[in-house]
Amino acid sequence: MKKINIFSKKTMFMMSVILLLIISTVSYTMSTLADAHEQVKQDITDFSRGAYDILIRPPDARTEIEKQLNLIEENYLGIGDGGITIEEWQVIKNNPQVEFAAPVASIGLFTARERTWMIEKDKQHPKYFEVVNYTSDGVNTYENKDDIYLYDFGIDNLDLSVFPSSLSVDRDYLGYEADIATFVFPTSYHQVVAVDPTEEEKLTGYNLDKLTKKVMDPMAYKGGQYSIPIMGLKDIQVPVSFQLTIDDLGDISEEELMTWEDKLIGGSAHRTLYENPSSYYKFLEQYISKKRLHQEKVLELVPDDGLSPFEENLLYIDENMKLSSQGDMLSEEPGLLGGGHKIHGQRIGYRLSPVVYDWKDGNLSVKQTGIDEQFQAPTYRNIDMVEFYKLDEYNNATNDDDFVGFIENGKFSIKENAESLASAPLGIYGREMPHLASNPTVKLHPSAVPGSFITTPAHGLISIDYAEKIKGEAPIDAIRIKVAGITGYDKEAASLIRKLAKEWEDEGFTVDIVAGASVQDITVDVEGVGKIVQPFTTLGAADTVLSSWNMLQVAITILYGLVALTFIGFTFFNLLADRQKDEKLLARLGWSEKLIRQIRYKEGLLMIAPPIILVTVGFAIFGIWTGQWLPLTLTAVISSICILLFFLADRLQNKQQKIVKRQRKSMTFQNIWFYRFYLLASCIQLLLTTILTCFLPFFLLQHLETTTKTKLGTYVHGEIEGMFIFIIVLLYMLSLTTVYQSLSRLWKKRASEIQLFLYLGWEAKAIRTYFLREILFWAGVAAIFGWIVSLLFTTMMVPITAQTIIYGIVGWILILVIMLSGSIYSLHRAQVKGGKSIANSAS
Amino acid sequence: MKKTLITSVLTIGLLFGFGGINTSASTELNNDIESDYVGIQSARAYLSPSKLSAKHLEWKTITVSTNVSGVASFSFHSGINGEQFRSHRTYGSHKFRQRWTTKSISDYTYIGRVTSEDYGPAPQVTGLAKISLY
Repeated sequence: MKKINIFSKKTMFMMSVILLLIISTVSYTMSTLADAHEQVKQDITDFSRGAYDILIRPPDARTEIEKQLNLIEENYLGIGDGGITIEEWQVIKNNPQVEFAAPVASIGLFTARERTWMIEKDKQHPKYFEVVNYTSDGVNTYENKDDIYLYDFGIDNLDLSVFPSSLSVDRDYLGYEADIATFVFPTSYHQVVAVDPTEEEKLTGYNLDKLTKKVMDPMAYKGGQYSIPIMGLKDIQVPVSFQLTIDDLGDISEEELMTWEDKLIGGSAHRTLYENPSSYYKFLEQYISKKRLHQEKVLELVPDDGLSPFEENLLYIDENMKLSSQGDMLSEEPGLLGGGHKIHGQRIGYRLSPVVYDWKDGNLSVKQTGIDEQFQAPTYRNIDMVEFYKLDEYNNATNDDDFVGFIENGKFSIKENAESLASAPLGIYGREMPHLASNPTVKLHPSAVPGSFITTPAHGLISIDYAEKIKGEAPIDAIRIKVAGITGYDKEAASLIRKLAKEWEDEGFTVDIVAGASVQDITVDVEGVGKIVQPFTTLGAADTVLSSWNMLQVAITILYGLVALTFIGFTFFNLLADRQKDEKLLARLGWSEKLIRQIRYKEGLLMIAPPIILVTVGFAIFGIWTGQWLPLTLTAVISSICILLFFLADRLQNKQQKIVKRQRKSMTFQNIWFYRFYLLASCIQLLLTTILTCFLPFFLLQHLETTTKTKLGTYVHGEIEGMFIFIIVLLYMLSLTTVYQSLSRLWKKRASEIQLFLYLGWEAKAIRTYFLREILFWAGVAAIFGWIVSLLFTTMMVPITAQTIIYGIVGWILILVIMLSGSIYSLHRAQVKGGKSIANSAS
Repeated sequence: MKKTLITSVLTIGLLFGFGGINTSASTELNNDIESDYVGIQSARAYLSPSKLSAKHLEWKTITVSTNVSGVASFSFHSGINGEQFRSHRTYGSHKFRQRWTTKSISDYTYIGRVTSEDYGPAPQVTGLAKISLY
C-alpha cells in the first residue's frame, strides 16, 4: 500500500523548522531571562553594598531636597549643628549587630593658617610692591578690592623708609628688620570635621592614629599644649592666586627727606597713617607715588595643590619666581627666610547652613543669598560666625582650656570612589566637583569666599574627642553603621538592615538605609554661574534596580510566552483546518475515522518530534558542556505545551461553524461572529501587541530613567539591554506574522464573497471599505482591551499621569494603523488574485 | 648593687633621650613628640633687652638669640593682640624692630622664641615693654 501523506513534505519541513526555532528560542530566552535575573542579583550584591549600611542622623536632619527628591549632595555631612551625643554613639557602637559605627561631627569652617609670604628685596634699589589677590570658583575670577601696596625706600630712617597702603599691610611687613618684603597670604576657608580614628579606619581603611597623638609646636599658642592635632587633606586646591607688581623707585635726595619729615606727623609715615589717614594718603599722592619709575615687573602667583592650609611652613617666592614652602629649603643654608603667622587664627570659626535648592518643574536651582564685600563674589548660603574663646589683654586665651587651634600632624587622602557603581556616601570625602553643563571640562570649586553652593570635602580631620569641647553636648551630626554578619545586599541582608534601622528610627533618629546608594549627576541652575552638572547621591538605589528588573522579567516572560504559544496554537489550527477537505475526501472513499485520525497524528508526530528531539539533544549537550540544565528543562515544558496545543487545535476542528440562524442587527457584527475562530488568534496577538506597545516601552522608559540615573543602574541596564531588544523584536515578529496570516486566511476564506462583490460591480474602494469596517471593529476592540490591560498594569507599578494615558492612546493608534495597513495590503493581494481567477473563469 | 642599677637605668634613659633629640629635629616633618623630649632640650632663648621703655610708635630693636650653634628659627611677638608672630630662619640671633601704640601708659609682654633645627625648641622667653604716650 502506498504511504499517504496529507501534509506536503514542504509544509511538514517548514513547520518542523518553525517549531525548532520556537521551542529553542522560547526555552533559551526564558532561561536567559532567569540568568539575567541572576546576573542582576549578582551585580547588585557585588556592587551595591557600600562601605556602610545605615546612616543615623539626629531627628529632622533631612534637608528639603532630600525630602523631595531623596537626594543628598556630595559631602553633605560636612555641615551640621549636631544632635547626637557621644553617649548615644557609644550605645549604638556597642550593639552586637553593629560591625562599626563611625561618627561624623562637623566642626566648622576655619581660615587656613594666617601667614605671610615673602620675596627677597634688593638692598641697593628702593622698590614699590603692589599685590592684588584673586579667588576663583572655576568659572568666574573675583578680585579682592583691598588696596595692598607699599613703597620701601630701604633707608636707615625707619620712619621715612616704608610707606604702606594701610596699617594692616604695615603690620604684616617684615621688611623693617630683614631684606625681605612680606605680605599676608590671601585668606581661604577650610572645612574641619571630627571623626573617631578607630571607627573611621574600619570604614575607610585609612590609619588616622595621628589624630590621637599629642603634638607640640613652638610656633603655636603656648607651645601647642592646648592645640588640637589635625590631619590635612592631601592635594587641596587652595582657590586663591595673586598678582605681584614690583616697580623701581627713584632715589631720594636729602632735601626731599627733609620735606617729608616736615610734612608727616612726628616725621613718621606710620604715625601719620595711624593718626591722620587722609593726610597720609594725600601725602602719598603728592610726594611718594611720583617716585615710581614705572618699570614694572608683574608676577602671577598660583599656589600649588600641595599647599596645606594647616601646616606651619613659611612661604616664599623662589629664584624661579614660584611660590614655595619652607619645607622645600630646610636642607639648604638659611637665606633670607622670614614671615609672620597668627597663633589665634582659628579662634573664629564659621558654621554653614545647607544650600537651599529650589525644585520647580523638574529643575533644580540655587539662588544667590548675598555678596562678599572683599571679593564681590556671590554667596549661596547663610554663615554663622562662632567665637570659640576670648583673648585677654596679654594676647592669651581667657581660659586656656577653651583654646581652639590646629597643628597639622600628617595628611590623609581618602577618596570617595565616585566612579564606582555604588558608593555609599561617606559624606565628607567627596572630591568630584561639579562642572559646567555646557562644557564638562570646566570644573567648579568653592572660591575663597565662604558660602559657596559647593560643599567641599573635609580639609582637616580631628578626633571626635575634641568635638564636645568645640561644639557642645551633642556634637555628632551622623553615624555611619555597618551591620555585622552580612556579606552582600540580598533579601536576608536587606531585612536585617531594615530591622535595625527600624529600631533606631523608633528611638527618634533619622535613619536611612544607604546600601546600594549610587552617584548620579543632576543639572542645577546656579544664579550667577549658569547651569552646572553636580554629583548627588541617591539612597537605596539597589532596591530600585532589583525591583525594576524583577518586574520587567515577569512582564517580558509572560508576554513572550503568550505570543509564542498563541503563534504555535494558531499555526496548528490552520494546518489542521487545511487538511479537513482532504480528510473528508478520504472518509467518502471509505476510510475509517480511526485510520484518518491515525494518519493525522502520525503526520503530526513526524512534524513535532524531530524539532523536539533536536532541541532536547542540543540542550542536553549544552547542559553537559556548561552545566546549565535550565534550557533543557524548559524545552521539556515547552515541547509538552506544543503537543497539547496540537491536540487542542485538533479538538477545535470538530467544532463546526454554524450558520447564524438569527439575523443580527449589524452585518458587520454578524460577519465577525461567523469568522470568530479565524479572528481569535489575531485578536489575542493584537491584544498582547497592544499591551507590549502601550505598557512595556513606557515601563522600560520609566524604569530606565530610574535605574540609569544611578551609575549602578546604568551598569546593570547596560549589561542586559541587548537581550531585551532581541526579545521585543521577536515578540513583534511573531505577533505581526500571526495577524498577517490570519488576515490572509480570512481573505482566502472569503474569496468567493469578494468575487461576488466584484461580479456585482462593486469598486475596489467600496469592497475595501466594507471589509475594513469589520477589521476596524474587532481589531479596535482587541487593541482597546489591550490598552486597558496595559493601563491597569501601569497603575499597579507607576503613578498614572496624563503622559501615560496619551502615550497609551498613541500606542493604540499605532497598532490600529499597522493593522489597517496590513489589512489593506493583504486585501489588495486577495483582490488581485481574485480578479485574476475571475478573469480566468470569464475567459 | 643599687648604685649599679640606678646608673644603668640613667645611662639607658640618657641614650634614649639623645635618640629622641636626633629624630625630633625640625627637619622631620612629623610633629610627634615623645613625652620625655621637652625636658632634655639644651637650646635656650634670650631676649635683649628683656625690659624696655618706649614712647608711642617709637621704633625699638629687640634681639632674640640662642646659645646653640646651627640654623634656628627666631620668633618674636610684640604682645599686641592681633599681631603676628614674626619668624626668621638664620644663625645665632635676629634683630626685630617693633613699635607699640598707646593712648596712656601701657605694658606689653613681648615674647621671644627659638627653635633650633639641631636641638629643637627652646623655652620661650618674655620681656616687658612700658609704653608711654609722648
